[in-house]
Amino acid sequence: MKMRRPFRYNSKASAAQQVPDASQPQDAANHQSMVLDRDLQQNINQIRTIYAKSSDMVYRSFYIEGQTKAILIYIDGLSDSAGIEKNVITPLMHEITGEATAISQLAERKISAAQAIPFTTFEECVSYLANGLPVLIQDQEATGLAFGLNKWEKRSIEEPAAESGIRGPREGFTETLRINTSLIRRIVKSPLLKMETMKIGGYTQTNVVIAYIEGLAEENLVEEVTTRLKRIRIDGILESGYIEELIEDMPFSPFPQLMSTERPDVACANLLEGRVAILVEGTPFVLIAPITLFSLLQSPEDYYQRFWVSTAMRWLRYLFTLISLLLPSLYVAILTFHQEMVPGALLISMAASREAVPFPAFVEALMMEVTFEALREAGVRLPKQIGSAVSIVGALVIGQAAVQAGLVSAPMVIVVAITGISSFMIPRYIAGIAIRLLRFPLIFLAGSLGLLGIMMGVIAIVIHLCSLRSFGVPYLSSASTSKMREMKDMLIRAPWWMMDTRPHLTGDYNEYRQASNQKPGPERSE
Amino acid sequence: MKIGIKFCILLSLLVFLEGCWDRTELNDLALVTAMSFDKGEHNEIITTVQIVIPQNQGSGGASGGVSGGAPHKTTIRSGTGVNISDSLSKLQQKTPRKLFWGQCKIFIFSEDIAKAGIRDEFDFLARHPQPRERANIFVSKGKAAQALELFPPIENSSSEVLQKLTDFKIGYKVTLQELSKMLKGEAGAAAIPIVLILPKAESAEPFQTIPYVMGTALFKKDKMISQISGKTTHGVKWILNEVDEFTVTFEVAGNEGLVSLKPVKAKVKLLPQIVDGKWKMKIKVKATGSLIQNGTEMDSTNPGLLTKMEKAFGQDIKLRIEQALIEVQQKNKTDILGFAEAFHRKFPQQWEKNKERWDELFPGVEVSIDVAASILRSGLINAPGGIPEDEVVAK
Repeated sequence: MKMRRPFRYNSKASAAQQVPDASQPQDAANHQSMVLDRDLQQNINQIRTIYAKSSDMVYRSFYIEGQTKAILIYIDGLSDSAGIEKNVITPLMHEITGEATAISQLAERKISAAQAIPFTTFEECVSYLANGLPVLIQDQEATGLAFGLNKWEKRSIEEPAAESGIRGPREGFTETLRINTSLIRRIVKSPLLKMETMKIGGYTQTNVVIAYIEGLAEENLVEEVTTRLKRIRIDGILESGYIEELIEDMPFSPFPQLMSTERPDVACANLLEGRVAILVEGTPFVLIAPITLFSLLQSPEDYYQRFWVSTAMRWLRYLFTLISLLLPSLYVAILTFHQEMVPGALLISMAASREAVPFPAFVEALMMEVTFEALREAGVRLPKQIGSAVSIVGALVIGQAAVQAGLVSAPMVIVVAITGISSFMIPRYIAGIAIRLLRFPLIFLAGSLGLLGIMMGVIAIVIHLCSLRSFGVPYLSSASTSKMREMKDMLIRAPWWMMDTRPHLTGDYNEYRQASNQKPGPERSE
Repeated sequence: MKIGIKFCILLSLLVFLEGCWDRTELNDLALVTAMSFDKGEHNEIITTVQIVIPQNQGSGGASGGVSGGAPHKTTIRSGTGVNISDSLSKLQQKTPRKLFWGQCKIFIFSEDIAKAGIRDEFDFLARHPQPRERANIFVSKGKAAQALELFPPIENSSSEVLQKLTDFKIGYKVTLQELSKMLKGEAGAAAIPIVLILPKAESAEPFQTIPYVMGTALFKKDKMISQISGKTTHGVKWILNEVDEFTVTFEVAGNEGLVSLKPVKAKVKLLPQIVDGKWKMKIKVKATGSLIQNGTEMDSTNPGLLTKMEKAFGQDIKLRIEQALIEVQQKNKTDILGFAEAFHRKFPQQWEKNKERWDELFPGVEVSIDVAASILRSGLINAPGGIPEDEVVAK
């Protein structure tokens, strides 16, 4: 094996020396530790060097009260220019009071912007500028001021596209981190809700927020999440998927070990159960850790509907999850190896429909499943206007024409259709995909070894699930515990007045979520 | 990592080298639904199978353009050989698809094979992995293959007809597994239902009729010795505690007309006794029924008259059982009634001493019948229907 060479982002700058950390930008490395000088011109030059060849930088120099030279720097499009004019420039230039113009006093007396943060290093300065905060530097001052006047175009709060429901709040997270944190803060108003921020990504400097509720989330869980996040050295984070893959326990597993959600109510429900949410700037998908397999099979609506309905829906979901994993392979195995297991009349009608099909059942199944996945993928990627064309072609071609042409048997179309539908019943899209993927090796096993092969495959999957952990919590923990009370939110969805305790392992830190004995009824006094 | 890759390669080899060795496509199978065994002229075995023709199943797939009349859904094919295995291999040579009898639920022996002994054939059916243990066994009057060559007007195949008929529990039903138990059992006797061919309706096409089950063939060891009628078979079913959904019609003493009950359900207990070296059997019957037809003039809601009816009902059951006993125990001396097991269970020591003599002992077993019969429901009307009220006998 060849020695791995670090990939270079800037070949000129690092051609000569070994790059210690490839994820960090090299060109402006030396500005990081520098502090502001008292000489204004030198500071301006320094910033101009850092932001060389950047046409979107705005440098507005003026005199404070006609005396002290100052400069206001911001990035066009990220800051609220009207706000700057009104709250910073106007009071500084026109209100002549003759008072001292030290930078600390400016913030207190003159500037009416809501946020005014003093800074002393260029590192801070660049960070504020990058986040859209205008920066004021004054002559003869080694301290600058950054104002919270950032404002850029953002998507408004909409209904989450991937997690819609009948009942429940319709707000979804957006790409803006501040909006997302505010959505959570609006639900959990307790000051015990903590949000720790860190920056990840050498170039993107993406803000990542770890949200948890102090006293509910275990301290070492928060610590572990923080440690894992700090370990990330990467050039950029564009979506929370990057983070998910960089901090999970078993990277080769097909099963997701962090849950992503677009809904603030889901995030808050998980926070209340002692889990940690990771919010990433630039994506509406918030990560939740740790999770179990069953949390992927639960829909937020389970908790809003009547518990009978939710329990029934849960069972239906479990059943169809199994169908989605096993149906095509069972069909293949039984049709090619175990014909005696099918009831006689059914076998005869299957034989009748398969008579004209030239392919073995295994090839037929594989063909149809691949076609289905292709149609699904095409439907997701295509613009909405063409999407309907795909579905028509799909329905006609694989639904009817293929059967009429004798390429595929009608029962196989039914099997593929049921499998497809059932995989969409899994509320978490990513979990559905994992199960859909696992179906293919199972079809192979079924086609070569029959039911024995399926058993081998299923046992392998179960062994894998048993050994899988999400931030130390076993993936099947709610099913494998001997505590009956864990079943209240897994086998059934117990009514709220019975769900006195938080789930085991994540919620043990603060066991009781509500007062016990709250069963309502007319005979209850007070 | 390297180990992981090696492991993956080995695992995929395991899957691919295995090469689907057991794989058989449904298209390459000849689905056998029934199988029959006949004796040829020179004592050879003729095995006939009924095979499904998938193209003609009508439902699903492209329908074949067969003109004129409905296409036959099954066909038959025979092979001749010195024993079943040999004849089957001959049969396979004439069939382009692999014979698959995982779905074969009907086996029919012809009468002459049954009389010569079915031990040889039975060994094959029990030993070979493909036949189902829950397949039904029949004996046919005349040639067995004839029952397979019928095209029933309603059902898809004659095998389906036989299977559904036996599911009604009205006739006697014997599966491969039960036959195995009987042949191995204490009594050394067996009973197998008899298949007959229903005369076809005048308007029907040739061969458009069904086989049906009537009567039972009695076997001693593995040889058929005689047969009993359908009515006697019912009596036997009473003794065997297999009464379910029976219709019982009887006369009530001192009245004209008949009374019918359905469904009749019963619990029957065999209570063996050995008194002073005399072997006795007490048959205890507890029967209930619902009145469905009252041809007499008696008011069934009157408790006194109902008791009368119940008495007649009990008498009728007793008669049925007695008739069966005369046929089976006295005439044919074959213990298909489960007496041997009952004695063995209750008197293991005596049984051990006498089991060799059971054939002599069985006809001499004194049987007493104790019937408790009751009519639970008298139907939707009180008085007998169709006659003026003043003609009804109310007391």
